[in-house]
Amino acid sequence: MGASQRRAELLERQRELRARHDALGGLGAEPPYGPGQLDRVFSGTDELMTVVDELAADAARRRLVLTFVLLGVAALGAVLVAAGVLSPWALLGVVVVLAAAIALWLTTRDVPGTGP
Amino acid sequence: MSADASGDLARVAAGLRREMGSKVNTLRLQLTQEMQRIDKTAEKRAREALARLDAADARGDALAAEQSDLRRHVDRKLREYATRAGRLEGEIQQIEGLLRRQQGHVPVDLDSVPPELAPLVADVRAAERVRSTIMDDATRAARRQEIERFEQSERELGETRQRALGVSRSLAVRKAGGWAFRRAAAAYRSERARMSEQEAEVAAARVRRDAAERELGRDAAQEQAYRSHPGAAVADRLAAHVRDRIDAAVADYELFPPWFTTVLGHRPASTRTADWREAAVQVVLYRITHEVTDRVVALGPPPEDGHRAAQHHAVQAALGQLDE
Repeated sequence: MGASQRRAELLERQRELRARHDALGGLGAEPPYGPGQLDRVFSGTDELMTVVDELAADAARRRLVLTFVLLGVAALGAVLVAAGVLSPWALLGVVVVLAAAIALWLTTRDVPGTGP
Repeated sequence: MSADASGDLARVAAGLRREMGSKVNTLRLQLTQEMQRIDKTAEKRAREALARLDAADARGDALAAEQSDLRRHVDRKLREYATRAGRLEGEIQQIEGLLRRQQGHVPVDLDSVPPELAPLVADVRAAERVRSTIMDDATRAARRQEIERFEQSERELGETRQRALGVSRSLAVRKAGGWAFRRAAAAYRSERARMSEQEAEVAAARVRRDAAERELGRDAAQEQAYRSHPGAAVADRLAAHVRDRIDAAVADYELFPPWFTTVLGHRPASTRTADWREAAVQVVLYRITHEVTDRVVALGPPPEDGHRAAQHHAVQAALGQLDE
């Protein structure tokens, strides 16, 4: 499923959840609510959270791919410096790219839906 | 006055001044020497007094140590004599008992009751059986605590549910993907996990609460049954009978059975006769009520728990007070 489809699904779930919340408060009910009403709201929220988690997992996968690309760029830069094609100052750029790759990889950890 | 006379007077005055000065110096020297001598004498006397005090202290310590040793010795001797006296008393009572047995006396039977009191005893035993099923205070408090714990768990779950509902409302209205939405998503995840844990806890607590309520209901019914049981009211009549029986046995110099003498001796002590009799009544009542037939151990084996254990403990405490 593409990112735009997921985004559309997220909005759809959010609309549905809003409707369920409206139904919960719209009936003039005051807390404590009936277990059936609450279950409907919580199941709607859980469905929304599933889509949120899937979106987060997709983003994390994309960041992981970008991490590998950056690692490749850093490695290529290091090889070119070693071969004398690039000046040693280019190593600073390699370090910066490496740091960016690590930072990006760190953001992909602990994302729901990407775990084992 | 001529000038010569004035010069003479001045010389005389100067000579007198010198002489006075010399005498004052001599007197000062003598005074200083005298003061030093007095100081030395006072110091010497103080040293002597201190030495005398030290010696007196040492003598006092020695006397205190001797007194302490003496007291310990006297205490030990007193305990020895008390033990010997107790042993002799026991032996005398044993001899007396043997003589009485040889003369054909038999120990008084305190375990049985006259036939006219048999229905009374049956009632007391039946009431006691009902009473033995009643919870003790600690168990009852534990069951009430189970009920309170369930209510507390349910209250906490309600609070978590309210928080989760609030966060869910934020998720429904905030812009999807925005900062507030992401924060609400994280909060919902945490509240939802807590809610699941608390739901499991409430389910377990509900099972325990239901069981506790059933047990408390049964306990209340048993307590009511005990209160309305005829045996609960006639225990005093049985106690009066046992008291009369013991009084008669003491008055007639009857032999008491071995289980009785092991805990109460053969005769009441003259100083605590009333306490002795009440303890004896409690022991006999316990044996009759719980049908203890042990010939040596007055109260039989100690029960594990329940009302009978509490009674056992109370009788033991009454017996223990007699030894104090």
